[in-house]
Amino acid sequence: MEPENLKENEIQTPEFTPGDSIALNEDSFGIKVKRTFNGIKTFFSNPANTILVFFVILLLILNVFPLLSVTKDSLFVLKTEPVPGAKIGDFTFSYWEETLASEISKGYFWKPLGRSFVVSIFSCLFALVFGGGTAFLICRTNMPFKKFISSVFIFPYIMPQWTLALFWKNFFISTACNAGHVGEFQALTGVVMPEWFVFGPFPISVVLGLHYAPFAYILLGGVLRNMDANLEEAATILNIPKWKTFFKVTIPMLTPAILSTILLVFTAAMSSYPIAQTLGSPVEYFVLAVRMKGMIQGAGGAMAGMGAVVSIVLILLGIIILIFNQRATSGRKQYTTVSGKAGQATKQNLGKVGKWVTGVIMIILIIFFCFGPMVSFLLESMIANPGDYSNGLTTYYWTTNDNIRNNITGVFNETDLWSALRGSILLSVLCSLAAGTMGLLIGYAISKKRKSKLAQAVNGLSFFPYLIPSISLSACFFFLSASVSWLYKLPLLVCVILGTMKYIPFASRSSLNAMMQLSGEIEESALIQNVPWWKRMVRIVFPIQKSAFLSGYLLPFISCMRELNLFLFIGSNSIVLTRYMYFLEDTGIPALENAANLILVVIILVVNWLVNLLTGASIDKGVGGK
Amino acid sequence: MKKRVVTLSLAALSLLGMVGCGNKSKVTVSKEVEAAVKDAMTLSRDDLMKKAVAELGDNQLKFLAVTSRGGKPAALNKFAELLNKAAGSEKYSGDKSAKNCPVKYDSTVDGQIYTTLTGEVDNKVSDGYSGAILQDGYQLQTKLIDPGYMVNYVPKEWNDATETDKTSNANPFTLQYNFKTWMVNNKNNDTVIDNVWDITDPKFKGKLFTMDPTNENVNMDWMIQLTDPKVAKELKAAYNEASNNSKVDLSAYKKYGEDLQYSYAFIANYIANAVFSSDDGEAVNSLAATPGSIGWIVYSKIQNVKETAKTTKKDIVISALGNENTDGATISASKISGFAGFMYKHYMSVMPNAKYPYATCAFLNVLSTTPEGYSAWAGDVGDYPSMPSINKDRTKGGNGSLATEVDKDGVFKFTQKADDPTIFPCLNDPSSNWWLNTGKAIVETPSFIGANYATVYQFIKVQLANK
Repeated sequence: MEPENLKENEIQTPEFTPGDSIALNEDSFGIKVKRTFNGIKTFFSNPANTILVFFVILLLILNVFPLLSVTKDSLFVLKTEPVPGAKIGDFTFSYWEETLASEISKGYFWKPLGRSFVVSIFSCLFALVFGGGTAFLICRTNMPFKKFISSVFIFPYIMPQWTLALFWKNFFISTACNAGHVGEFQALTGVVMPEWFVFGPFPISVVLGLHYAPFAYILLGGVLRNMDANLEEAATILNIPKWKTFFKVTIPMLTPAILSTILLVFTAAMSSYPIAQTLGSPVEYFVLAVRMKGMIQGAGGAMAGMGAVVSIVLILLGIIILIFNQRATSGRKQYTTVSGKAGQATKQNLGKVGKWVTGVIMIILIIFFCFGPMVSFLLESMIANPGDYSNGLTTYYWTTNDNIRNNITGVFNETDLWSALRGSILLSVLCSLAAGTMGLLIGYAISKKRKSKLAQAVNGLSFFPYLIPSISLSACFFFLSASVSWLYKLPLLVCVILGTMKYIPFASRSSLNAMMQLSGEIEESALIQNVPWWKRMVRIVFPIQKSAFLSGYLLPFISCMRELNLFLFIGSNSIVLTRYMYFLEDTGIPALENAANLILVVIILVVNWLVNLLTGASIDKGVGGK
Repeated sequence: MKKRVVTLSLAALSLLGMVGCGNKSKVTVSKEVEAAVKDAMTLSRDDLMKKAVAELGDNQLKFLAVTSRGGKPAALNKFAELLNKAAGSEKYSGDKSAKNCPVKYDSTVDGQIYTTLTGEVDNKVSDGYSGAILQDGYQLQTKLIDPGYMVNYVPKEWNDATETDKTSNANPFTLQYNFKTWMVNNKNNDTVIDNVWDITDPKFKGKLFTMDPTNENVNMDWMIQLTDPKVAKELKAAYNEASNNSKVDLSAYKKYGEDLQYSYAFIANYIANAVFSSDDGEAVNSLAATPGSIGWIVYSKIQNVKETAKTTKKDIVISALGNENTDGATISASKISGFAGFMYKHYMSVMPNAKYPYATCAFLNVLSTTPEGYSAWAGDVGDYPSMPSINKDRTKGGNGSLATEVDKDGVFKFTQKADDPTIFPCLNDPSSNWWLNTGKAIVETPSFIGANYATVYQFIKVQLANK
């Protein structure tokens, strides 16, 4: 541009000197810095962004170490699993080759993988049908006994997995099984159940599905209860048949919850060990998790490399499902079911007879599956030999002060048991508070920014610990804490960090589902009135979706109370009750072990009840038990 | 793009290299610990206690074990009593919940204990576990002995005793033998195993209850030890005896050698028949509930079976002892050809990073050389201390009387009396010498297992994969 023209336009152009050039550059740099600063300030003025940045850093730190160590174990020669011709620490694909393409691959990997798929798919189906069906009956029909069914439906999830499997085995085992004997069902009815019903893929799928049905119940029920009736009502006005409305309107609205259920159940079922061990091993039906546990924990580490490979495969499978879930719930699709002008859907009438028949069938099923194991624990805690009721029942194992064996007394007088229980409660409360709060914040932030890459990263990262086998996490955090002397002296803190990390997915999923149903307009109206973020959260967001958020606190508590593998390397028996139970098994007093199980379940139920009493909310109430 | 992929890959690889997870540089035993343990071996129990008191002061030593029994009140009380005597005051308490209890005793399983201990040593944890009771010869050899982490303490009283076997049990120092043996549920009088090869009979497929070798590695050690040439010869001899009901086809195993083919054939057919439980207690419960089944189970677990109208130890027959065993002290020949069982050991070690080496040695001394310290094990069949004089006589443990009325604990009470008739032949436990010499029990040898593990484990892996 010519200087004359500039003058004409009355624009002052400074004379061009080197010194001024620096001043100009400094100015533009200052502007840039200021702009950047303002940009950052604006970015962080949105609480969702602040939360996302904080958690992406935290979760990266927490996830990277275990993930890399598992990867490293699969790619470098381990001290415990030498590779011919290679030195310890050398790079190798040997473990991958041995796992995927060797003479033992079929037995150790491919066959168990196929079986894992089979039981995981069927357990997903069972959980969705049973859990979702129950949620539908409770939220959307006039079936009786809702309060009772709703309050006990979560019991199978509360109970440790293996106890459900043991109940199934003890109840149905029969003389038709190889090495079988007369079980409770055969003794009561004379009916001899076939072996396929007692051991193998069928009972594993059913028991896994049963254990995880509360996931479906909680997630689907939460949506069904809060669902905006407008769309269904529109379908009714248009004379669309009810079944068509259900499949074309209701089910699509449930998509995020269904996908979340599949994600949680499938990945959990794929890596579930105790049920498959109890109901599969007697007929040599080994799933991948059973094989993996043997590889990681057993043989003095002689298969640890293969174990790492299987861990990675399970993690990758989880990631694929996670991506699928993310794709399905992100993008332009909206799943808002709670809006500012929602109306409650009308309940479907099952008919005068139909509602009672449905109610009674549900009651029988629920009592059998939910109370059966607890009754079984109680009875088993009152007999000397497992499953042997021939000498009647006794309260001895609860009340005695005698030395039953190895200086162990009855439950009420066994100080170690109560000390371990106190430890477990403290640990579970701390983990639940931390995981619940973090999960809530993560869910909130992701829902607000769900199209951003940052949100997707946090969403993925928060779910990662769920995919890593608990035992691997435990070992990694043990080594991590051992290298930090002050941390090693605080095993409870390490357990809390580990538990929080592992259980964030429960809370974040629950929170995300709730947030995705919440129309933006609800918070926006408060935003217009300049209501601060924390107040919007506490006064608006939280109260509306209280039940879903609180389940985000309760689920970590329940999971932590019955966790064993995660805390195997950290802390002592006095911190975790399940570790103490593991040693009760070793002492050969099964009655005490059963009593401890019963106490564990009762404590969790009491906590659920207390939360209900104090806050007016609980997992089951969130679904609609009242 | 390509550049970015390469950069990311390099970054990932370098990060992988940084992730330690236990592979740290070798740590040597601290000179203080080495000197203290060397000195402790020359000291009498009383003198050792004085050193322990001076070293420990008001602190607690941390101890980790694969068994909870060493932390039982009898042992802790005895330790506290001896320390108090040395201190000349009631400074210590045997109550584990008291702050002045000299030991903080934790227990875990053999799958975890080596990870914990070596992890502490590798990471130079200064106030970690000072001592340990361990099992699993393979991991002991490869994870403690080979890297030089094992600090062996032998109590003076044990070393001075004439009854102790220094060759077998002094290095690594052995607290006791645990014993795994063959047993059957003979409720219907139709199940006998009089030759180890009988357990490979296809009729026992799915009826042989035992513990999962991937769950507790001593079960793997046993199979490795079966390939010891001496054991292979025993298996060969038993195979050719008339009592062998199961002439398994050896042709597939000839490649392993004239004698070793018997070992490999036995391992393969044992695995094929076995039902693996997560615990020996679970295995014995299954055995007791299933007439006609057989078991390869830790002998002491037989005591888990309580007397009821439906279940009784009378039905359980220890194959080597037979069902007419009235006195473990006078029993003559073993009733089973081949080996009667497997002796695996509980080893003791001071840790190279021990904060209180003298006190640790003192505690190990109490557990391994005093009846009180060993009392938590002494009552159980199948547990044999390396110093036999601290054990209880259990040779007539199955003689006595059985009540006909149900007692308050829901079982028919058994009152043991040596001179009374035999009620439970399975409980008349012979001495460890009988099992070793007459019963030809296999003994766990860490050096053999460590040297042969990789080769034999390859074979076992294939068998387990085919299950």
